[in-house]
This record gives sequence, structure tokens and C-alpha cells, in this order.
Amino acid sequence: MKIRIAIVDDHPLLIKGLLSMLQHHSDIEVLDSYHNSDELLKGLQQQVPDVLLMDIQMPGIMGDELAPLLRRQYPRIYLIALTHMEHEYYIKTMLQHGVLGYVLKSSKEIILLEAIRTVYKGEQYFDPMIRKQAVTLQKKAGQGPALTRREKEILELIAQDYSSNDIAEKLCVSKRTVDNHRLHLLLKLDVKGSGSLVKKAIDLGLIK
Amino acid sequence: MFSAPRLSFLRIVTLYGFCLFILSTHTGAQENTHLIQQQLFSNYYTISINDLIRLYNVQQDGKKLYTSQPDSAIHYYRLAAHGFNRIGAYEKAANLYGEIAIIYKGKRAFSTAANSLKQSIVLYRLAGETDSVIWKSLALCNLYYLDGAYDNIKRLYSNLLPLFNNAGPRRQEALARINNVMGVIYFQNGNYDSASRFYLKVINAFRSFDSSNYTVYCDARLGLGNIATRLGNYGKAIAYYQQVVSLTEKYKDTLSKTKLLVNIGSFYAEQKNYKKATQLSKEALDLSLKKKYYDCASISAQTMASLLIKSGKAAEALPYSKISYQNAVLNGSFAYRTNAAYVLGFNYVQLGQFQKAVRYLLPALEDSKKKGQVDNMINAYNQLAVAYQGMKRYQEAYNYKQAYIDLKDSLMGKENAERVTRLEIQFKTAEKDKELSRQKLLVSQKENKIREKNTWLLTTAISGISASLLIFGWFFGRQKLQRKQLEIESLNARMEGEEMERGRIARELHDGVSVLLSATQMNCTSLAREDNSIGKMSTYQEIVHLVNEISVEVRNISYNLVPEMLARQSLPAAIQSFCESVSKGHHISIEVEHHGVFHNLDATFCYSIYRIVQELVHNALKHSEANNILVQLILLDRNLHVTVEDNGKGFEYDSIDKGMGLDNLKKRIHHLNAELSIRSEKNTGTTIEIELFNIPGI
Repeated sequence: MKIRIAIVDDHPLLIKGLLSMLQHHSDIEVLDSYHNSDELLKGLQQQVPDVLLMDIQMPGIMGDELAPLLRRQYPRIYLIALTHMEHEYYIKTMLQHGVLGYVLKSSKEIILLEAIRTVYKGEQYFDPMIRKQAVTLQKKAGQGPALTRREKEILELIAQDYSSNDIAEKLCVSKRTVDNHRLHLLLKLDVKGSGSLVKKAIDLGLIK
Repeated sequence: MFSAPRLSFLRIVTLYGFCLFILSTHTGAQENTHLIQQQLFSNYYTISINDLIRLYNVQQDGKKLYTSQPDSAIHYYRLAAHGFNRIGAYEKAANLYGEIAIIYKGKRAFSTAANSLKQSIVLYRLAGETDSVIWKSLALCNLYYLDGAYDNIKRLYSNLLPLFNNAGPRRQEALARINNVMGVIYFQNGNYDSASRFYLKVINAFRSFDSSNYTVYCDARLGLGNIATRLGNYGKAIAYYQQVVSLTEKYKDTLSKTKLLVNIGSFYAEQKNYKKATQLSKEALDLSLKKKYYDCASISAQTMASLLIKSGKAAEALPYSKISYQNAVLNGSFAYRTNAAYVLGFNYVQLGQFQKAVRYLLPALEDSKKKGQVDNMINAYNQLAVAYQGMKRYQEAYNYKQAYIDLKDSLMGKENAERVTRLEIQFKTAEKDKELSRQKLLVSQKENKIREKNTWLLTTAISGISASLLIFGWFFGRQKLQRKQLEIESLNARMEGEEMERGRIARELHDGVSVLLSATQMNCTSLAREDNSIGKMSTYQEIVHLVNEISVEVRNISYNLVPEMLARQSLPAAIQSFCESVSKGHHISIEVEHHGVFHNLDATFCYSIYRIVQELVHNALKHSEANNILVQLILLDRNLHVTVEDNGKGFEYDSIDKGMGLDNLKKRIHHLNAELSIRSEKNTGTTIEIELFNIPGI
């Protein structure tokens, strides 16, 4: 079975180049290409690829906004960021949003092919140029996000089953402030409720 | 929890107010300047009514010196502009940079003036003042024209075009002016069909917008007349000039009248009607000298000189050639200067003073080659050929003659004339087509009105687009369009590259050079402490003063560059790259946590947040002795939560300078509809949290 691919990139020339490059490989089939995120989202309603090559800097919805959207709506598409941005911010953000591969536009054909084939198996692939950076970032992400002192305090108290009201009283702040911090903690640890928050915090070693 | 800090906060505020009171008893420009310099360039923002008043005073000081001491005026203006910029009063700062540009222009420092104008334009963009952006760009365009920087004009033009979509009459007028300049530069480069295209655009716009400014229209007509003259199409030229005649009579405008006289003068000269040409040019010259129209004076004197030279009266021509050259220098325009240099050179050739001739001709030729002015090059080659012949240097003479013939053939060929005529036919056809499609549009609008409102809007838009596309396609031809698009694409790419480069330079200045400079400053201070006598030496004090000046300049430059960087990246990306680079210099780890989608935020708002974070991080680096800083941006719904936390030594609130910094931070944030909370504990660290509500741009 062929690996079915879609491309979203605002540079028509790049798309053209990719198409002519990929057609020489019998195990790969390009379903369609799109010039921006809106076109892509419309196209996905018709057909869904296995792997999506996505640019980050695009007019309209940018790649780092698009990735979380896709992860929610089409969790089965494997995403590869194909970009010229080697900035740590983008690598980190894209990884955070579930991109499986990260390839620089300046790289050779063989790297992109390797990325497509690896990602298709559900494994991660990083361009050698940024591999070291990406691995370090991932290791850091594995340790969990950095928490502020206040967040740590509140997390400890949540773990001890304090209610928001209790915490507010104990820390001499308003309940709204506590709720805000709680919300931020949920966001940062990427969990839904207090129960899973405490569990994940323990897993990551954020609380003893 | 907060009661203790709050009390000390009050104390700081009073202290600060007290200081201001003492200082404000001093008056006069020197004190003002000094104070502003100290406060604005210290590490903290100091914005109060008092400061604003002082900024206005500084501006006023500049105004007073505007005519008598332009250099000092620039100094004060720049100071005030920088101050306004820092407190986010972009429009005021932009206005002042515009004034600075005018002074520089008066001093004929065109490229410096252009830089100030560019700064002004960036700030107007930040302030969202599109009209001012356009008019300042027009001024910049004129500056570039004077300087002969034609490539810059073309770049500016393509940069500006998007602003003219659906623009009102005032903007259309600006566009018309810029189109005129484009016409002139293409004319000067011998690209007559492009020149006609731009002039025709002006005329077209004038018709459809009923612009009150008929001078632009006159200029375009004159331009078309000149093209016709140059191509030997005299009947058409007359027709163009005739229309201007009636307009100038109607409005009784001396400048347009003078321009007309100048142009008709050269028209008759071209037609070899020397008597009439002399008469008109003389009239134009007298009028221009009286009214100080340097450019008109230069050209009419030039025509006079050429006429006299042609009738063999080179000696009589020389004074006119000199007048032409002098006025060209006074006008300052690159093009006029080269032209006049040619005529003067040619005049010397006629008088047999070949050495003198070559002295004017060679640099003029180099200039025109650089700017691609084919027209001038033809003249130069011809004259240089004669001059070298006169000096008996035949090889050089031959080379120049050959170059002259080649270039003239390629330029004046039939092909060129045909191209221009074809273009005009196309223009007229396009006008008819436009009329047709306008009627079609009306019909389709009526039809669609009956249907649903939504579809009505959509189809109008679509048929509007396709109608204009039709005309566009007719007008230029598909291939030309594609080429144009490619050009624009490559231009965009280049600009993008330039902007990224600016960002890099800004970072390096801010984080590299600034750090080195503060190290130098610190060493200077300790030097004086180690040896008291050194501190008293005037050379030492001079050095300290200079280093301070340098760091102020560097900050100035980098701050002006930074907004560009922000415009390219999202807020957290910009903050992250800032943190990365400072942490490298300080052996400290700075972590940046961010959540939410930041792309749609308002640029000015982002800039304020960027600056706040930058300032907080700098404070932490300088005072906290921390080895870890956490910067956190969480954007939820329409609220942004910013935290900057360090694990340093903490501080107590009665430390005055810190208090001042935070106090100002507080004021700045209050302006943004936000809440600030500061917690600091000894030996644990400081946490500053800012919560911003209902932020713009989402």
C-alpha cells in the first residue's frame, strides 16, 4: 500500500518541486496540495492522507495553530513540519502540538523521504540539522513544564485535597486568582481535571 | 499578605514626587535635556505628566532653534522623538522625525534625511496612521528622486501599492504624484513605454476621481508631451501641451505656467524653431529666477545655452550654462545636476577647453551609468568623443563615438515609437471596455439585487474582480503580468530578508554591544574609585561622557529596529529569542513557557508586552543575582497572563531605584487595562505577575 500524502504550503513553486520529486517514488502517492490552511481543512473533508507535509509560516492560519487543530479533528494524520524555521520556539511548539516529524526545507530529498517513511510507521523523525536541539527539547519537555512558585504551592495544596476556597484563604489571595492558576496548571500539564493533574504531576516528579 | 509592601510603595511614590519637585525648579533647555536624557535612558520607564511636559519643552527648544541652529534643533527633536517613542506616542515621534528629515533635506544631506523619514514612516505605521504613511512615503519618494536613488523609489512604490486599494480621493492624489515620479524616472532612463504607462495612470485617476490638484495632471500631460517630442511625434506633443495651456490659464498658476514655458521652449528647440524657442526659454528663465524655481531655471538656462551653442555662439552660451549648473546644484536634484554638467561640459568642448569639459563630463557619465540614464549617456558619449578628438586622443574618441551610435540606435529606433503608440491604442480600447463592463456590472447588480443579499455581495465582488482582470489582461498582456508578479515576488523576498537582518542587528546591538558598553562603563567607575586623581581628570570625564553617549545611541538604534523583528515573529517567539540571547551572555538559564495562540494580537500591543518583559528580565539580570528566570505567557480567551519570576536574592521595597522602576511599570501597565502583582521574598526570589484584560486584536 502506498503512503498517501498531502502538502500545505503557500509557495506554489515549492509545491511544484515537491510533486515532481515525490512522483518518482513508487511507495508514495500525493493526494493533493493546498496553498493555505483553509484550503487544506476544506480538502480534508473529501479525503484524508496518511502523512501531511505542512509549512509553518503561512498566511491565515499558521502552522503552529493548524497542528493542534488537526490533532483534535484528524488524530490519525501523521504530521511533518516542512519549514525553513529552525528556531527553537517553533520546534518546541510544533512538538508540543503533536508533530511527529520536523524537516528543514534546506535539506536533501533523502531526508524528506526518510522522514515520510519513518513517520508513517508512527515513529518520530527529526532532520539531522536540528536533531540535537529537538532531543534536548524533548528531554526537557519530559521533565514537565517549569512551574512558578505560586503554581507549585497551589499544586501541592490541590494534591492535599484543598478546595479553591481553602487555598485562597490559606494563601491570602482571591478565589479567582486560585482558579486562574489552576487553569494554567491544567493547560501546562495538558490534562483535563484535578485528579489527572495530580497524577501527572506525580509522574513528572513535580510533587513528591 | 500585601499590606506591608503597599505601605512602602506609598513611600516610594512620595520620594519620587519629591525628587521631581526639586528638579523641576530648574528651567531652561540644558536642564531639561539633561534630565530627559537621564530618565529616559535609565533602566526604568519614567512616564508622568511632568515628563510629558518636559518632552514638550524639549520639542519646543527644538522649534526655537529650527532656523538659527538647525543642528541643535535636530538634537532636541531627536531626543523628544525618542522619548515619545518610548512612551508609545508613536504619532508624535513620527511627526518629529519628519521635521528632522526636513532639516536634513535643507542641509542637502539626502540619505540622512531619507533615514529619518523612514523612521517616521515606521512609527506612523505603528500608530496606524495610514494617510501619514502615504504622504511621508511620497516625501521619501521625492528625496530619493533628488538623490537619484531610483531603485529605492521603485521598491517603495511596490511596497506602497497595497495601501491604495479602494483608496479615497486624497490617497488617489498621493498615488498620482508617485505615478508621476515613476513616469519621470522611467523617462529619464529612456524607457518611454513604461513612462507613458505611469503618466496615463495619473490622467486616468484624475478623470475618475476629479482630483482638485490639477498640477499633478499638468505634470503628467507635460510628461506625455515630452515623450511625444522625443519620439518626433510633434503634432501629438502640441496637443498635450495645449491642454496644459488652458489649465494654467484657468487656474493662473505661475509654477505650472513656468514649467509649461520650459517644456514648450525645448519642444521648439527640438523642432529647430530657434527663434521661438529662445523667446519662450528666456521668458521661462526670467520667471524662474524671479520666483526661485531652481529646477525650471536650470532647464530653461540649459535650453538657452544649447540654442546659443547650436547657432555657434558658444561664448555667449557659457554664462547660461553656468547659471544652469548653479541652479541645478541649488535644487540639489541628482538628475538636473548631471544634465547641467553635460551642457556645461559640452559648452567647454565648443570653446575648445577640452580639459575643463572632460572634468564635467566624465563624472556625469559615471553617474548616469550607475543610475541607468540612457538618455544622458547618449549625450555624454557624443560629447566625450568630440572632446577627446580635440585633445588628439583618437582611440578614446573612437570608442566613445561607437558607444554613442550603438546606444542611440537602440533607443531611438522605430520600434520604440511603435510600442508607445500601441500602448495608447490599448489604453483607449481598455477605456471603452471598462465602460462596457461597468454597464454590465450595473445590469448584473440589478439582477442580483432581486436575489438574496448575501449572494448579491459575492457576485458583485466576483464580477468586479473579473472585470478588472479583463482590463488588466488587455492592457499589459499575460506575459508581462507574470513577469511583473515574479518581480514583485522576488522583491518581497528581498524585503523579508532585509527585515530579518534588521532584527538580527537589533538583537546583536542590544545584547552584544550594549553589554560590552555597560561593562566599559562599570570599569570606568571602578577606575575612578581606585584612583581618585584619575576621576578628576577632564579627559577621564570626557571618556565617561562619550561612553554614555555611545550607549544611548546604541539603545536608540536597536529600539528602533526591534518592532520590525516583532512584526515577523509571534510574541512568544520574539521573547524566546531575546531570552536565549541574553541568557548566553549571562550564564543564567531563562525558561519561557507559553500557551495560547498569539498570531492575531495587535502589533503595538505586542511591542509593549515585549518591552515590558524585556525590561523585567533585564532588571532580574542586573539586580537579583538569580541563576534561573522563568518567563511565562498564558493567553486564555481575551486575557493575557504574564509572569517573570527569578530565584534571586529578592528585595525590599524601600530600595528607591527599584521602587521607581516598578512604580513606572505599574503606570505603564495601568494604561493597558491590567493588574500588576509583585512579590519578593528575601533569598527566595521575586515574582512579577501582570494580568491584561480584553486585549486588542483578538
